[in-house]
Amino acid sequence: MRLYSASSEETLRARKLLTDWAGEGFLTKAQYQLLEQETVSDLRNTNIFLRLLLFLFTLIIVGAAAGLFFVVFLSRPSEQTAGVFSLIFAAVCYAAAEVAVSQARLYRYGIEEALAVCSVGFLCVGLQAAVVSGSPFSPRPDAAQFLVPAAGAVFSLWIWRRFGFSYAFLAAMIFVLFLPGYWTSSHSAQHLIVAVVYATGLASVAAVRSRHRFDYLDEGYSLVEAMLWLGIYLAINLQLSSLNLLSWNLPVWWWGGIRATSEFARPFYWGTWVLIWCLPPVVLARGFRQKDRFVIAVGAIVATLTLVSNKPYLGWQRHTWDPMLLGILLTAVAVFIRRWLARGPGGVRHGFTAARLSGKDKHWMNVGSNVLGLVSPQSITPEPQTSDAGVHFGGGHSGGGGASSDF
Amino acid sequence: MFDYVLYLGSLVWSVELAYLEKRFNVLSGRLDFDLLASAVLFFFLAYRFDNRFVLSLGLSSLAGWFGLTVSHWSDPQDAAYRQYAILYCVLVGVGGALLQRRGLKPHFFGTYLNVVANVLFWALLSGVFNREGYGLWFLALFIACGASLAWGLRRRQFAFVAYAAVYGYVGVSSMFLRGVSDETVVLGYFVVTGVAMLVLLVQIGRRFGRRA
Repeated sequence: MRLYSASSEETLRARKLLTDWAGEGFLTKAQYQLLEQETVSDLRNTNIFLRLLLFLFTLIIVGAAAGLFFVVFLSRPSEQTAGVFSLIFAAVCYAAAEVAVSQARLYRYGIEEALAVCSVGFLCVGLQAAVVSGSPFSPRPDAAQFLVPAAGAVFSLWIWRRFGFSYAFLAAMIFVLFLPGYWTSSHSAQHLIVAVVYATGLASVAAVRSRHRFDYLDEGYSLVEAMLWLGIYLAINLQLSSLNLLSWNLPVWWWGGIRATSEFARPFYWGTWVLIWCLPPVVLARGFRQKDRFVIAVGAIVATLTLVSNKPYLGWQRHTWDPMLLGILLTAVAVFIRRWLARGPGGVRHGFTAARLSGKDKHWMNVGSNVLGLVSPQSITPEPQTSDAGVHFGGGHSGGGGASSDF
Repeated sequence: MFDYVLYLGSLVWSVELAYLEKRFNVLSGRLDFDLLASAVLFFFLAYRFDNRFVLSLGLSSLAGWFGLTVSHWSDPQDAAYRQYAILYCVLVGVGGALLQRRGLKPHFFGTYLNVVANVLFWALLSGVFNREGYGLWFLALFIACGASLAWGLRRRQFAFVAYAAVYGYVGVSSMFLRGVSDETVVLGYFVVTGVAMLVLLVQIGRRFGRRA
């Protein structure tokens, strides 16, 4: 089912690890060169910036080509005709993505990714126009409209399995959000259905993943598992979904406006409150046991979201200083954990360390610092700070928390 | 992990100051001075703890002191914005280069350059979008794209290749499509130029960009 051979992907993973270790100085140059020769892959990939550019320009080409086709060959087509041609475009895009991988051996190259994404988009638009009548946002949607998100979910899952794009799995999860609105008008049932679907997916992924703990598929499954845990949490946290903070269940929002939490039955409402407190420890425990960074990160996120949404759940008044207290609490917890880990023998406790082991963090810190420089909210001033005239700066490297600095 | 904690602490600091200012008006509305002092604090923390996230915060606070915010860029008075943006780019770029030359956290230079490049490209593009007198800005954009591309390829920093491609494409497209309303021409333009860009980028990728 997978478009890439296991040996090719395993080789690419080995090369990536090799680059990380060499970047951190764990390997000498001679060792690196020797191992590099043994990790030559037939797949063609590129760096993240070129990948994004190629993705963007492929999207532009496909979108403009489809638009040009409609303008030149089909002036004022009927909805059905436009839908049929959109379905044809979906097939063409998908075939092109397959060819790009099988012939040009592209791997996370941007081009094949954009083609696969376009095929999902054209499929949904084509089904909507060709098969289903009426607007998807109308107050009384056609029952056949169920086909659109269902097909989107299934096709996205197929692309995830075939190409291994984790964001295709995320797209499938988003399509699933649209489904319960077609089956039942009960908001509680809609939340329940989504949570059950995600939980089923989680059980399946966990079962499959156990066979791939030490191979190239583990990282992908780890990400998918983390997304499913997060999805389950968001499905049961009624405060987040009722505020529509996370674009939850958009069709219902479009049809019926934002839902008040009072619309839910009391046992269901308080049952979800219990669950949002139970889920974070479960996720964190699973993450720590598996030593899975993505799952641990999601565990931390859902724990924070529980703290954020607890007051609205209980109907308590929120104060303007709540975010400050939360920030101080999170900072204190982080510092405490770091120190606790560092005090362990050799700076390690139960296989965990606060020290950075991989160059991967450094790479993301480079990218992150660039992005944050553009999007950071402009800060409000503090009191002027006094600086020590005798200090001098130098040395160290980002990511070391100043530990290697000669400040 | 401490890098993230320090960044979180800096953000909390900002939130607390915002609260104090909003609730008690302790800073008497001197937002410009506030931003400058805030930038100084973040620069101090960034250099003390060797943290590029906080350096980014410092650079954006300093940009705020210069009056630069993305949300205000579309204001009709954007000529003044452009001047401040270019002044900001010159000062930050020269400052970053001097610090690098003196050996003070030379690895921070990339962050300085990235922020400077983006602010500069925004400023130049806003000039290209002008209805009149855009020729000089287009020339400046063209030169900046060439410089960014050359720097990115020579230093193998592909973020700069991406800036040159995206900002350059947007600028050139706005020039070519100025006043064109025919759908066929516009869509045809995007197909042809998109393919050209794709071929160019694939060639660059083959020759230079195996890994980030």
